[in-house]
Amino acid sequence: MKRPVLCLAMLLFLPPAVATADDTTELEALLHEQVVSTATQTSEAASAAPALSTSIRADDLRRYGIRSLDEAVNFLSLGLVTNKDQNFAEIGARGVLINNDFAVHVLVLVDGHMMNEEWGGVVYPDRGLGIPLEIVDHIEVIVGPGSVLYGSHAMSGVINVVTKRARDYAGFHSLLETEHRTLAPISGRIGLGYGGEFSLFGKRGDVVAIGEYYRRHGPAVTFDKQYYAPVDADGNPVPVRFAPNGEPGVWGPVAQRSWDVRAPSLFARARLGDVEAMLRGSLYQRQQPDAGPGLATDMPFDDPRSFERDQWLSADIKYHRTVSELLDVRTRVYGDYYKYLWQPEAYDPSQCWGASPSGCKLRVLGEALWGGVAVDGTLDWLHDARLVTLAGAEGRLRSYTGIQDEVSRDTGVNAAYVPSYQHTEGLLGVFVEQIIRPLRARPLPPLTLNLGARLDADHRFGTALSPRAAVVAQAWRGGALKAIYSEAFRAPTAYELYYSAPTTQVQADALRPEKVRSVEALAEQRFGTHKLLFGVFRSWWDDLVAPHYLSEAEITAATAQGKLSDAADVGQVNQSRNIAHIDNWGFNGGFEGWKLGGSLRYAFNVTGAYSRLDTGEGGSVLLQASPSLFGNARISYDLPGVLPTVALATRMTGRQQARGDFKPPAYAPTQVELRLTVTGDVPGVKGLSYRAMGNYATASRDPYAIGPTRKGSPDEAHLLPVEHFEGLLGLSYDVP
Amino acid sequence: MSGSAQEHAPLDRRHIGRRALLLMLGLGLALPKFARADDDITVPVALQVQLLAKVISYDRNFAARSRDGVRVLIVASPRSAESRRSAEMLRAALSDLPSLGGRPHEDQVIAYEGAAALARSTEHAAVVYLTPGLGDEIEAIAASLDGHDILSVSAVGAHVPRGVVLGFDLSAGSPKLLAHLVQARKQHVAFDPLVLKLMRVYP
Repeated sequence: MKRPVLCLAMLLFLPPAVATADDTTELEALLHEQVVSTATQTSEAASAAPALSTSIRADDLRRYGIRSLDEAVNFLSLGLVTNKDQNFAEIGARGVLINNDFAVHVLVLVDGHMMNEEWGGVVYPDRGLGIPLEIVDHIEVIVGPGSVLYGSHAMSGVINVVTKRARDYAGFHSLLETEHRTLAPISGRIGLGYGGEFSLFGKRGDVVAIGEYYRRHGPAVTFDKQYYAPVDADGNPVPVRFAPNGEPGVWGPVAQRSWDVRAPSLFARARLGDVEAMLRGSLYQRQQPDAGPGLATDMPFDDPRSFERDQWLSADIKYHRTVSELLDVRTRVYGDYYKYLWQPEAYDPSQCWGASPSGCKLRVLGEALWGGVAVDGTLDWLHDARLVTLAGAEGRLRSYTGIQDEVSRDTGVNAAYVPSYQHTEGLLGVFVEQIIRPLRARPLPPLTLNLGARLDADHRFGTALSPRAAVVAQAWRGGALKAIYSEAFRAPTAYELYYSAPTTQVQADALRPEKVRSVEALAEQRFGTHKLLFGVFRSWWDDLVAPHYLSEAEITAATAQGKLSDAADVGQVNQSRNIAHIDNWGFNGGFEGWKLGGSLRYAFNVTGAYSRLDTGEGGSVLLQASPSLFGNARISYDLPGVLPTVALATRMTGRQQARGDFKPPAYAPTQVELRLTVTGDVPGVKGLSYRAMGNYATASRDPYAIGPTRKGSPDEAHLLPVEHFEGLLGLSYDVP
Repeated sequence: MSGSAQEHAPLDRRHIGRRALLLMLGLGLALPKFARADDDITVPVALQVQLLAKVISYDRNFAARSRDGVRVLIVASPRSAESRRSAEMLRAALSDLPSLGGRPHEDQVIAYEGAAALARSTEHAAVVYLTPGLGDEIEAIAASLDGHDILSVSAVGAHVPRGVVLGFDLSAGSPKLLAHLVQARKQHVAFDPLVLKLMRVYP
């Protein structure tokens, strides 16, 4: 009698020790937690990081047909957005995208190695990044100022591309992909990679390596003809010749020989014990219908001999050692070489500095070599990660050169009319970060406090202090509230500081670093296999470098000082100064989840912002080619068995004011892209997999004026055409 | 110039940069460079214990093993500072959990004194949690736990293929559960098929 009663009591009062099927969702939710390290340089759940921190997984890059970092940002990220100006992707965050900044306001890292070069601060968040996506494990995106740990460039955010370890890239890998566009021509890439583990000298090690070659040629694109004939001093129109045999004064119409991209790249990383080494090399050569990057208005059209080329070589060695229960130390030694060459053919004498009736071959060369050492330590005062101090220092030396010259077609003489410059500089950055987790102070929920600051001393500008203060509260089960204040800066580039031209630009006086201050509040809630996020932000951008157009008196003074030639005209001469400001506020929202054991996945992100630019020359204006409303959504389903994974992604950018001086402003319409991707294993062939993607863009125009017409009425704006349809077909063969 | 009236030239900022660079290089290289096996914790400790708290209840023998509560032994290598620190971090993280698998738990850090001694220590324990620094001892530990009724867990995912029953690794920025099924059987650990679907299993 007693035994059955005892058993019944146990069943009723003993809590179940074996979980039921219903509890799997909580475990799966934990397994989908994103682990990030970029926000604090310590590994933590994204929900605990003192920033809006999201992670894009390698699997999502493949399943949604992503081909480059800018597409990952547009289709998969929250808070960041890119626009494509011909072959170059511009990037911004939270409604602030600054045209022609060449991505200098975003810090891009690969495994912690800075990718922004030290001559112009440029980084290419597109094919030019030179990192094949097959080697990417995940991409951590920090939205908002991040200079507290990383120094210059991290004003809009920090993107850290984390590459795979050998055990996630084991064996030999090959790939072949072709791309198809509306007007048929084919582009593509091939790649080879390897990942493996080994033992050497009693230590375990691993190596990953991948090489890729991307080539795009075409298609031919028909533009509207543009007639361009600036008037001379006597008021007579002087038609500009844009092509060797083209009609004078006519830009366009058919670009048959441009839209050319060649991008070989190589990446390798090896680890042995505590030491890790990385080597990267890439080349990014491109031609485009309008050979003038950015604001140049009289550059050749459809010229196959005009090109831009960037070359990179990077090396990085890291060493990590736990010295004691209190102290962890990391040391990094790195070096980079970068070379930029822009070589447009000029067919009109107006495009040359010297007297060359038949035109000339221009050359703009920038070259930089830099290297540094970074040492940082983690002090775990209580030996349990609750009270942690990070402190570090980085020293860097850089040497760079800027040259601009031209070869006359008439005389063959190479002459420089723009002063060249060569400098060697140093910078020193020190930072400290204090983390307290959790801080228990009833009745408040457990809090994590993060206080930090970085001081940079740079030969270019003096000093800059970048503080951050953040509180993260685990307010209730699955919920987190964050409040963050942060500042960041961008050092003036060598180009901004030292470039001058005899009739159009006076060399800048000492430039201060650009600054941004930001406050934001975030709420995250995880419920089962779903996560909801909402945040609001406010930021102030100050001392932005912008052109100041010299007055007649200033031109006269500069001419007298020998800074300008006598031919300089009022309205044509500018000088870079810290004169612009941006006021910005808005919201971010995101939702993601999955069902059916992860077979069905979906997500939605949206950012809305109000941003106004004070150029320093009078008035507050909307930022051009900078979307105020943008977002993305995606859904995918893993069909069972040998059937593929089908994924649909979409991205949207709201109506944007076009770049240029059009009055009233010209606008590009809302752009929606729909991307359908099918991925899977080829049945019957072990190791062979495929990826097929089709992308449709609804709007036919991007917000970039192309050609020489950059001002006038909106009807005169010729906006960059967008290909409605693109497709991709790829095969990968992996041998473990 | 006389010594007392000697004029000091302004220090070139480039020299400051170069000296600072050399100082940091020297500092970095002066630190001890002891050889070490691959012993990385990739999943944050706080997340590991949350995962353990969920996974443990999917062991069909857990109820019997934890009849009197869950005793967790956290094993630290006395020769490894990282191991000792990881052990304290685990203990702190476990102390934040009200229960493990629905059961009250008691957590203790012990020093590793050999596989045989460890096996003797696990007599009344439900979980033995291994830390970095024990990488060279994993096979010996696994052999010593054969036949013992205990769940062995490692904070280092790379230990699982070598004989630890459960571990954690990071892939594409998210945690992964790793399980060694052969060793699990030897230690009377039987994971529910539902959770096995979520694991990367060895061998």
